[in-house]
Order: sequence, then C-alpha cells, then structure tokens
Amino acid sequence: MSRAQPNRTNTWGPTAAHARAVWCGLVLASAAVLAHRPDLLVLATPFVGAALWAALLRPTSPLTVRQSVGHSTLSEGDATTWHFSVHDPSGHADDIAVRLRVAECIDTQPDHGSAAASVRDDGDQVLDIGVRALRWGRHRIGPARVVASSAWAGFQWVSDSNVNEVALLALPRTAHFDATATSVHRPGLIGVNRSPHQSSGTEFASIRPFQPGDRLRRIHWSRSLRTGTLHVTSTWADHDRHVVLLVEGFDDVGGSGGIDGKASSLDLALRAAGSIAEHFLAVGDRVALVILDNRGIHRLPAAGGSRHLRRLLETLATTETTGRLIDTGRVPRGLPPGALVVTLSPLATPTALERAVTMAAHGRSVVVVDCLPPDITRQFPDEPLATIAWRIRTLERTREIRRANESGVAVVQWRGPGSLDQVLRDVQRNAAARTRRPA
Amino acid sequence: MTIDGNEQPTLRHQPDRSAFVLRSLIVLSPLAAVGITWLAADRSLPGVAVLVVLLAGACAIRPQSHLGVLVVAAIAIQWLAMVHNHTTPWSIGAAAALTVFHAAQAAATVAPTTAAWTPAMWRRWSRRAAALVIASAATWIIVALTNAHQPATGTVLLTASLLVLATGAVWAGHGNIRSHTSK
Repeated sequence: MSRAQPNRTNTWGPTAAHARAVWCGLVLASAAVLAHRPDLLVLATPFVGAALWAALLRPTSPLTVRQSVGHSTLSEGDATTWHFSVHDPSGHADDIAVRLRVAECIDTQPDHGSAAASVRDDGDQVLDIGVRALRWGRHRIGPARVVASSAWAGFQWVSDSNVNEVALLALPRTAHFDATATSVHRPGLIGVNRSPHQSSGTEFASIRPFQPGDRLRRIHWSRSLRTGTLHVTSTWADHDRHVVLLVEGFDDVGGSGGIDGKASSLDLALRAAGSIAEHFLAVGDRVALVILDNRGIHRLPAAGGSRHLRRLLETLATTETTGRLIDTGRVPRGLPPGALVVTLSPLATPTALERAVTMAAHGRSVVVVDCLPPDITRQFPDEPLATIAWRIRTLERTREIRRANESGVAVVQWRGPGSLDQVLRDVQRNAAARTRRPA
Repeated sequence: MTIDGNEQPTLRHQPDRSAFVLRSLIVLSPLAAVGITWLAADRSLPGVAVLVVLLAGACAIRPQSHLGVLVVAAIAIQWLAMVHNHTTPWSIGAAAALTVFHAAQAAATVAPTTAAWTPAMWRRWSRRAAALVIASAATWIIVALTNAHQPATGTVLLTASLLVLATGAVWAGHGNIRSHTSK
C-alpha cells in the first residue's frame, strides 16, 4: 500500500545565519569607513559575500514534499520504507533534512530517523528512511519535519509538522507451529481431520460384521467368504476442527524488548495465538478468536483461510492493556460446544484457571497455554519485594495449575513450536474415550 | 527555525560525527581568530580569549541563536584595538577564521544533529567557504594596493564601503530580518 499526499507548502524565511551575515557585514564595513581602517573591510568581506550570495540565490517558490510509506501493515521485525520526494521549482534549495518522529517500538534506518542530503547532488533517494516495527501493535509514524535550506543557510523552508502522520499496524510474529495430534470431538462430517466416530470417511478403522444400513460397496468379500457372514470395512469419519483462541490481555507481565529482546506475557500470548491459528488454518480448520482485555471482549467469528488469518492477526495486534475493566472470571458467551478452546494467559490471577475449569465442566476441551515469562522472578533485581511477591505467586500458580489438571484442564507452558503436541494428544484421547461407542 | 526545534537531546538522539565536527569548528575558529590577532599585534589579551571561547561554546550548543554576532563583535573590537598595521596580511587569516566560524554555525542549522552529512554537502560547503576566503584575500590585495598608491585613500574605499552599506541596508530593510527576529 502506498499513500502519498502533498505537504502544505510554507514560504521561505531568513535565518539567524543570514541576519548575522548582514549585520556583521554592515557593522564591519561601517567601522572600516568611520575609523579609516581598511583592514576591517577584509574582515567584513566573508559576511558581505555570504549575505549577498544568500540573497541572490534566495528561493522564491515553495517546495512540494511528498511523503509515503511502503506498507502500512507488516509483521513484527519487518521493515518498510518511508519515502520522501522533493520538488524544488526554483532550483535554489541546497540542503534538505528530514526528521521522522516514531514511536518507541519503531526502529529507523538511518538511526534516529534523521537524514540530510544535498538536493542537487544527492537527489531525494538519500532521504528514504527505513522503518522497522520492533513490537506488535498500532504505532504512530510521523509527522516528519522537513527543512530545506538555501545557499549559506540564508533562508529556510520548514514543512508543516501536523500532517502526514500514519498509523503502522505491526502484526504479531508467528513462529512455525506444527501439531501432529489428531483432533478432538466435533459433530460434523466434513473437513480434513479424523473423527473419533466411525462413519463414512477415507481412513481405515476396522473390519466388522455387516449391520443394516451399511453400503454394499463396503463389504469385505474375502473376510465374508472365510467367515461365512457378511463383513464390511469401516472407516473413521472426517470432520473439521473448531478452535477457539481465548486471549487474556488484562495484564502485560514482564518487560518487553520487542522482537529482538525479552518477551512480555502479552508478547508470548499474541505470538503463540498467531502461531496456533496459522497452524490450524493451514490444515483447513476453523478458528475463532476471543480477546478479553481491559476494554472489554473482542470477538472474531470462526472462519478458515488465509484471509481469516490476516484478520485474526490484525485483531490480535489491537490488543491493549489500557482500560478500566477487571477480569471477573466470567466465561464469554457463544463458545460452541465441542470446540477446542485454547486459552492463552499469564495466569497472573486465579480467575483465568477458574474460567478454564468452568469451560471444561461444560464439556469443552480446554487447553491453557501459560504465557508467563519464565524468568519473571529475575526481572526485578532492584526490587526485592517484587521478586519475593512473584516467587510466592509462582508457588500459588503451581498449586492452582495442579488443581486445574485434576479438573481436566491441560496447562502447558508456551515453548514455541510443538508446545501443544502432547497436550492435544491427551485431550484427543480423553475426548475419544468419552465419545467412543461400540462399532 | 531549525529542524531540531526546541527538543532537548536525549539518549535516543546521539549526535552524528558531522555534528561534532561542525561544533568543534564553531568553537575552534574564533579561537584561531583571536590567536591570529595576537600574532598580528605581538601582544595578547587572555580575557578576550576566555570571553570568545565562552560565547563560541554557547553558539555550538545553539547554532541557530544570534550569539554569533557577539563573537564576531568581540573579535573585531579586539582587532580594532590591538592591530595598528592596516595592511597586515594576518587580516586574511582572521577573515578565514571568521569565514569558517560563520560557515560552521550556518551549516549546523541545516540538518538535525543526528543526521549524517553526505560527502556532496561537505564538498559544497567547503568550496563556498574557500571562495569567501579567496574573496577576502582579493579584498586585502585591493586594500594593500590602494593604501600603497593612494595613501589618502578616501574616495575608493569610501565608495566601496558605501556600496556595501547600501546593499546591506536594502536587505535589512527588506522586512525579512525584522520578521525573523520578531519570531
């Protein structure tokens, strides 16, 4: 995407340098005349020359500066370019400098978002500034302050600093995530996953005696001839998987160093949610998103496909911890029965696990991904009380997690790709045991 | 009216090497002018040197300020008071030092302190400063010749100076200076 808009054009104005050249030239020349000191005329020459030079090459036409950003949406760690193009009708502008204001989570190249160039010799390509998003979220880029100078910096033109502000949306970086575990119960007969049910499908399950209603093309003739009774080949049904990602963004625990540094709990949660969603969507499953944060509940209905992944990541990127709501532990409405609910939370308070246990008690398969930074007790070296508090909380969490496990809620710490594999196998095994019926 | 505006430098705003070079020139060139004055006069006034260094340091911190006029005034007054040889070639050196001072202070306002100067910018500013130094040398030659052949001077110098004054007055009365200083 590219957005270009002409900047407001201001007029050229004299600078302190021009005033200095004029006044020093005047005063020194006057002194040379009045005091009969021709040597002072030698000292006045640079100032008189600079003043005349600047005045003779004074630009008359305002500049037109166009600014555009290469991409308004990108992933964490990706970079785009902020383009500047300058049109100088009078051709008297010598130097041009740009300073781009960016948020803390944005890195620029050149450093500090500043660049300078000679308009005639360097062109305006030198002024392109690379912008790299270090952390997910909606970041403000700009406004850019552009200053053009004429000869001897005698006159300067300053762009309007209140325009050309662009919001850059940085999506959470998704790590490659691969789960080979089979799916949990889902009462549907479409999709690419093997159902715990035996029905019309493609994957072989067993050979069993014929029952009324079995299709004749399923008869296994060799077994039937050997045994003397009709046998049929049974298959596992195919179904899709409905995954609900429940992201709890009430707290952002731990410091965030962006994509290249430490990860806070919200960093881990959003990146893990993105990775899980990418995996399930890639295999044809449907994924819904529910974000609980201090501003309320944000939902994204279940859907599939790459466009849905983009929508999901954009929704994740808008998560904010600024707000006044507190977590009451209430289960969000509209979670479909039989869905796999993946809750991503730092478990900073007991309410997250209480909510997971409640959902599991209502028959849903629940997996809790613990997103608390592993080194949280070492992140406060200067605050011994905070360290002790987190140690106590960690012990409490251990007890709460054990109780949640006893209630059928699997809790797993996010350690990147493969974190959920064993948990999903266990969940599938339990679900299959609950729903298995005689063949 | 500089690109740095009124922002205070922070850890995120580490100056570029070009900013260091320009600010060093802002401090060192007036000091060189003071030294040249001492050489031309065969005597020294340390108090003036201290004053010039302090003012030049302030100019290095805020190159967009008008303190540079005070630096030039201090150097000119010292020259006027101490140097009595009206055709001394040291005046070319003093003019060169003042050229560097003015050019460095002006150049420091064209880009933010964190921006790197391109080689083309360095070349153009150096060429133009050299042109002004050559012009100063030419002026000195004219002054020396005029002084040698027409000791009464008067007419030529006065006419040239009045022309310069008239030109400066035109620009000063153009409204630009007044509008700038009133901002």
